[in-house]
Amino acid sequence: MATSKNISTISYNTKEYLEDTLNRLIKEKKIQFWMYIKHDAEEDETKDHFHVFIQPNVLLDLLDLQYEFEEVNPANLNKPFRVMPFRHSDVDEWIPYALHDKGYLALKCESREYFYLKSDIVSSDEDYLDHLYRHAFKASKWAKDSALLNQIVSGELSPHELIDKGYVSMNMATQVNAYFYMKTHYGLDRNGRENHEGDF
Amino acid sequence: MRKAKITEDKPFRITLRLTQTQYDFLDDLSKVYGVNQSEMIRKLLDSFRCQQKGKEDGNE
Repeated sequence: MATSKNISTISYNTKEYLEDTLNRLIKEKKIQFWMYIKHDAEEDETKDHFHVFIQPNVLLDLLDLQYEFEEVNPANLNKPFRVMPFRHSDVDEWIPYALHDKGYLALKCESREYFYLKSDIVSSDEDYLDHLYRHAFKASKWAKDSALLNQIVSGELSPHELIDKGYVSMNMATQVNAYFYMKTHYGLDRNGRENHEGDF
Repeated sequence: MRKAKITEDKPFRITLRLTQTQYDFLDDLSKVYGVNQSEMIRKLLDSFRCQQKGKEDGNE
């Protein structure tokens, strides 16, 4: 498949070869920006790896690109260090996942053992990384959803404010009402009689 | 070695004389790595150069 959209992969290369190859691709004007982060193996993973994000500059054949990262493995020549097949990637999602951001992972119903800092991300352009980072955590769709969810859970927003402020469209009013009713009446409906929660 | 001004943009060509065994090995390796023989030699050099740098930097 050929693409010029943003792509990402997981790399098992050495740090030096990975960086060398990424820099070469910039010199050859095939890509315009890269960043990567090293992750330690989690419980359900077998080895340390790099998450790599690439912003192409031209139409790239993804299989050709994958071959660029085939690195000679001195211990076993027939089993090169390599990258996983490239996939399209949304930078607003890549950055919080790369950092194992708790808020982002919670939205995806996931959790991880290790967490990382922005300074752990290595990139070809620090200023551009700053820009992407700010957007991912403040202006992206998931960040806005997460902030809204926090406000609803903490009770900062009432049902009508959700509609007044344009978070939810008017025709969803009854669903919003149902949600808040569910939240306050989640126990048994005993027709006005008290439940037994206080007994325990 | 020929003296020449070498840049990343302008690599220079060298002639390499290989025995049949060496050529077959290089050819087999090229197939594993999905490149031609000339690119395979470059890849070998790049890989070892980077791994050597990693050892020196203590990133082994």
